Order: sequence, then structure tokens, then C-alpha cells
Amino acid sequence: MDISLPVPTTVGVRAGWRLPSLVAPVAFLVLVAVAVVAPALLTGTDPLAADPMSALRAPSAEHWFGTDQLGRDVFTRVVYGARYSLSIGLAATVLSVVAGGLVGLIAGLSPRVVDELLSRALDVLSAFPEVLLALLFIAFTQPGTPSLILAIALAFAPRYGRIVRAQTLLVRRAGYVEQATTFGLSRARLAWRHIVPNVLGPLPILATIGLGVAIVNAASLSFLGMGPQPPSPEWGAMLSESRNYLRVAWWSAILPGLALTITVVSLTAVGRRLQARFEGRR
Amino acid sequence: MSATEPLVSVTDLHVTFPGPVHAVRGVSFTIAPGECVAIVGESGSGKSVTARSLVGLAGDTATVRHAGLTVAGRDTTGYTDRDWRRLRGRLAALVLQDALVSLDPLNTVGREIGEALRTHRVGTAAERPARIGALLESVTVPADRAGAYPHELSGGLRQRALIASAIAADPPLLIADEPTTALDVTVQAQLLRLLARRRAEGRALLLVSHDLAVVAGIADRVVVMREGIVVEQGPTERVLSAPEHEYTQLLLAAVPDAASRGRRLSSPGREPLPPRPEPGEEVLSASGVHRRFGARHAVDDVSFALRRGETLGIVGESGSGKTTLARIALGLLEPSAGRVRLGGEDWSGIPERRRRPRRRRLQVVSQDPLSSFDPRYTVEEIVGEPLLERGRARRDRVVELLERVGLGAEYLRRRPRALSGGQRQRVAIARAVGPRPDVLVCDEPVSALDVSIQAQVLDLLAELQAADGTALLFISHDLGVVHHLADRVLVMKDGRVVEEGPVETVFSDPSHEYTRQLLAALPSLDLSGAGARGRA
Repeated sequence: MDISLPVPTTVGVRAGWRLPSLVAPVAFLVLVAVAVVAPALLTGTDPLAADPMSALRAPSAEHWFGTDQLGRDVFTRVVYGARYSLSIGLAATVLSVVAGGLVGLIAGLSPRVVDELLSRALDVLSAFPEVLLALLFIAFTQPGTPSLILAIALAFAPRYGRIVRAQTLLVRRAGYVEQATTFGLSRARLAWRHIVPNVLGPLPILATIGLGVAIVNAASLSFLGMGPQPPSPEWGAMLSESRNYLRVAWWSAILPGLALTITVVSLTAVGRRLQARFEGRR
Repeated sequence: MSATEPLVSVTDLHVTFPGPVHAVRGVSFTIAPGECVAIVGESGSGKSVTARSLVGLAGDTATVRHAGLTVAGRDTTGYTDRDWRRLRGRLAALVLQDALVSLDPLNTVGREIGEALRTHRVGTAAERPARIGALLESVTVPADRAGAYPHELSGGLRQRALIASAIAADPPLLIADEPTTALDVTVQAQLLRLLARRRAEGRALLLVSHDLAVVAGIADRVVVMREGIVVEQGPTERVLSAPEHEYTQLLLAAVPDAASRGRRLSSPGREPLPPRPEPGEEVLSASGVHRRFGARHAVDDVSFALRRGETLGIVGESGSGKTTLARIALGLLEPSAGRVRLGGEDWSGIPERRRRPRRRRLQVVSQDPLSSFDPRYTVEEIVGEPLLERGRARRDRVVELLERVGLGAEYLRRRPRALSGGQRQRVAIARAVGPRPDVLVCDEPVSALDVSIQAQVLDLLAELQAADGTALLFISHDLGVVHHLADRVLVMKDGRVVEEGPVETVFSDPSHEYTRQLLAALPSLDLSGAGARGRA
């Protein structure tokens, strides 16, 4: 029976789950997930079906989110758009975590010279604003979904690389790694058994938070025409197409924008909470 | 004493935490003005909560009930936070174990003390600097250190500066919760002298400690607590010489000293330990080992030899280079000069590839077992990792090892976080003896443990050594522990060995001044020659 005095600093554990409930963000993300996997469950219409006769109609029982300048149902396009925005964000995040993680691990585990080289390279890449770096990359390739994914992955990889490198240096010096050295483990076994798992443990949580930012960036670049081309119902592209009609048909821009905003806020909220929980446990 | 009104009077104190955890159940005691009372018990005994309740700091979630709680002559029944704040510092001050946490890192200690003076309206602003200086001098901190930040001070100075700020308003009662636990013996002795002087000036003291020996020299009365209950209380001489309760006897037997050599610490009767085989051939040796970090000599020309079945104690205070020496012995750090040999073959100055196959012959038990466990591992994985067996055979061996250290198969799936400090150290020992090493390096293995748990762990180490004939390189700042366990001892100071020899010789007839200082600073249960008491 160990009695320690309760100190009111245990935010992660004590206040964590009682503070703002995660019910709303989680429910919204479930809805988004359904839209990604099976959009037809949420809407019966075709996102590309144009009907010039009913262009720019205000939201109504028939068209929940109204229609756009070509008479396409905005709600349907928002639902189908989730697949573009999320899959681009997800693919870019996974790519950047894997690439950044690998570089970070190699830097953290290598001799000083290699570490120094890789770290300076990461520093140089980090010096560019992420969107600028992605734009630069697309400028040298073809606009479109694959290069958008690669561009965002490249822009975010240095961030993960630096986190992973710092974490690796920390874990390398941990007591349990030194202890395992006395068991006569080889350097590779040490890294594989003790360093890598403890470095990578917190990465998925960081990636959840990063996912939201990646989605925003993907939408921004599509807005600039660097991503999926019209008539694909990508959220950023939808914003771009409808911005000329903002005065007469606010719904065709505001509602996709809201979908994007709420998705990102929800992802960040869930990610932050996971992070707090994880750190509280450690 | 009976004539004067008590300064503190606690009657039937209960403290409950949500759970519910009944931390303190019916504690009663009194402190007379100018008296020193010590509450002794292990972690979880409720001693700290009791002490904190006296200044209204039992905690936000605590429910405190009592049939009377008088502090400094005030009945505190129905006290609000505001009332407690007014009482704290002026009438009763609390000093905690870790001054680095208790002091504001952004404030110099002088400003910290000045703030206490201002809060309690002691003197005018003009005379404050002089008062700060005088307060620091009174706790033997040079007055010119008033401008220092807590992190710039050593542990001992920091703890004394904290006391200076606590006694700024000269409260009649000072409560000190494990004030010396984090300190070296010589610093601890200084601090105890300081507290004794305060008591001699007629100020009451309430000491909280897990170590009877620390408080024996200064306390007038001892209150022994266990699981929230006072099991025994009385004058120090009586409690130490004729303990009535079995638990007090256990605590007294647990304090290692010269008389406990070859005997069990974890039983009141101190039964003899199993006999050890005669020391065998040399297994580990160091000759002329140096290690520099920049310009600093962490280890300076150290030589030793360790034979099979033997225990070599290495004693020194923090910064003496004993841990660096341990890392060199373990082959984790290369010596800058000199040579280490393991089993007659070179152990230093060879490539790691040649060291690796022999590494399992040297195992280590460190002070903080938790940080030596991979956070993802269960007890089974931890103990099983260094073993060569696989599958079924490995599990059987892990269970066998856990049983040897007094744990059982029910611990296999447990995670180290869910274990107590003593259990964790047992797991660490089970892991270390698993590969049947020739040498076990123990770096402060019991420093973080309560005396009674320390006794169990020391008994365990002695038993394992007797059974396996393992050589022990036992590093500790605690001379009592080394005296109890070691055959030979090396006394280190500033990286150098200042004295070495058989334990009996070094402890009874120390030749170096520093060893004499260390021995004089050692708290003792023997009250006959206790100079620190300063009785009038």
C-alpha cells in the first residue's frame, strides 16, 4: 500500500477524461470514416451528375447543402470528397512518418559523422515552410494526386525525422539499454529489441495530430490546383471552384470548408488526448 | 514536561484518501515546547501524512478527522485554508526531503528567505538583507551565497537554505520530513547538528524518517508508525534499548552495523546467515585505472582485486568516482589508462566484439531498478532476457529465479510499475543472477529503499552469494551497509582510493582522516557516545 500525496498536477490522468468529452469528435470521425469507406450509404446521388437547370440552389430538403454552379449536389460532393482529402492526407502522413522515422533512426543510431550529415539535411529541409516546400516539389512534377501526396510527405518528413532522432538519442542512453549491453547483445540486437520499439511507440499518436495538418495542406494545395483536377470532388478543389460564387451561393464554399475544419479539429482533439494519456501513463 | 502545556497535541487523528485509503487511523501524540519528537516508519506507514496534517497540508483530496488537534497552542478545529496559511511559517514550518523541488528555481535563496520574512512581517525592509545573512549563517551557509540560485548549490547547502527560509519567522515548531535522506553522511551529520542546535535553543522539532538510526541521536521521544497506526511510542532510550513491539524490534534489527555481520537483518532475532565458502581465485582486477572527463579526473589511479565468493565494498560520497569505477569494471566505459582483467584475461582495451561473449559473467544491480527495465516488458521478459534457455525451459528457469528471490510464478505477467520498490529490486537481482555471473556489481542497490526492505534485500544478496559463490563488488555511500556486508573495503574520495583493507581494520582503526570523518558522521543506534544530542 503505497500512499503518495495527491498533487494537483496530474492533468493527464485525473482531469483528462472528465474534461471536454470526446464523444462529438469521435462521432464525427466515425461519420467521416463511413463517407470514406462507403459514401453511397450516406447519399444516393452521383457527385459528378450535373443539372444546369438547378444550379446554385440554396440548401433545402432535396439538396441538404444546396447545389453548386453546375447544379451538382454539394452534400454528395462533400461526402465523396472525404475520400480524396482523407486518403491524400493519410497516405502523405504514413509516407512522411516512415521516411522521416527511418532517417531519424539512422541518424540517431549512427556514428557522429553520419548523424551530423543527416541532421543538417533535415535542418535545411525544415527551414522551408511546409507549403512552400510542397509547392516547389510539385513545380518540378505534374500536378495531380500522386505528386501531391509525395509533396506533402516530403514537406512533413523532416519534422518526424527530427523527433525520432531526438527520441533515439534519449532511448540510447536509457538505463535498460545499458543493462541489456551487459547481457552481451550485439549492437543490432540492442537496437532492434530495445531502442526501435521504444522510439516508435509514441509515433502513431504524433501522426494522428500530424494527419490533421496534412489534410489542411492537401486541401490548400488542391485549392491552388496542384491536386486532384476538376471535376473531382476534393474539398480544397471545391472551395476553389466555388469561390467566385461566394456572394450568391455561400453554401457551396462554406459547407465543404466546414467539413474540412471540423474533421481537422476532431482529429487534433483525439490526437492530443491520446498523447496526454500516453504521456500520463509513462 | 508535565507542568507545561504541550505545544502540539494530536488526539485520534484519522486521514482518509479517496479509494478509500485509510492512511492514518487514530494517531495520538504530543510535543512539548522545545522537545524533539521523531515519527519513524516505512513508506506507506502514514508518517508523512500525519506530519503534514499538523500544518493543514494533508492534501486536497484528504479527509482529516480528529478528536483534537492543537498546534502551537491553537486549537485548529474548523480551520479554513486561510487560517492554515496564517499558521504556516509563523507558528509551524514544514521542510521537505527534496530542496530542489521545494525551492523556487527562479528565485535566489536570499530572495526566497526575504519573501518569507516579508510574508510574516519580520523586521523592516531596510534590515532585511542583514537578517537574510544572519539566517543563512545560522544554518552554516556562507552569507555571500544569498545570491545563488537553488541549482547552483550542493544538495546539503540547498537543504540548509530551505531550512533557513522555513525558520525565517522563528516558528516554535519545525517539521522536517526526511530532511537528510538524499544527502551524503557527512552532510547529513552537519544537518542533524543544525537541527539539534535549534532544539537546544528551545524550539520544538518534529522529524519524520524511515531510519531509526538517523533520529536516534537527536530525538527525545520516538513514535513508531505502521500502516497508519502508532505501534509504539516513548522516550528514545527506552524504545531503542527495550522495544516492546515486535515491529520496532524488526526495525532495530534491520539497521546494519558491525554487530550484524554474518547475520540476518530481516528478523528480530538476527539469526546467522548460511556460511560462505572461502574466497577462491581472482575473478576481477583493476590496476592503475584512470578515467578523465575533460580536465576532471573522475577515477584516479585505482587498483583492486576481487576473488570468487568475496565481497569488496567501495565507499564514497557523491562525486567520489565510485559509479564511474563501476562502469569501467562492467566494461561500459574504457579507462583512460590502466587495465581491467576478468578471469585472468584482458577486459579493458579490447574490441567490443571480444568482450560481448564474456559479458554475462559480469552482471549489475543498480540503484534504480525501474529505469533498468524496458518499459514494455513484463517481469517474465525482464528476468528471461539474459537467459540462454528458450521457450518452456526459459519460463521454468524464470520461475525458479523468481522463487529464489522470494517472488513466485504469480509475478510473471506483472509489469514493474505495479511492483513496490523492494519487489522491483528483487526482480533486478533475479535477472542479474540468472546468467550465473562470476561477479555481481551492485551500485547503491539499497539506497532508495526503506530500512526494513533494505534488510530483506541485503539478506537476499548474502544468501545468493553463499549459495553461488559469486563475487560482489558492492558500491555504497552507506558505511553501515558496507560494514555489514563487505569483506574488504575501498574508501574513495575525489576519484582516489584514500584507504583500503579488511573491513574490521578500516572500521575499527581507520588510518586516513577522511575515513575517520565518515565514521564519525555515521548515525548510530548506540546512544552511549552520542555527541550530537547536546543534552544540557
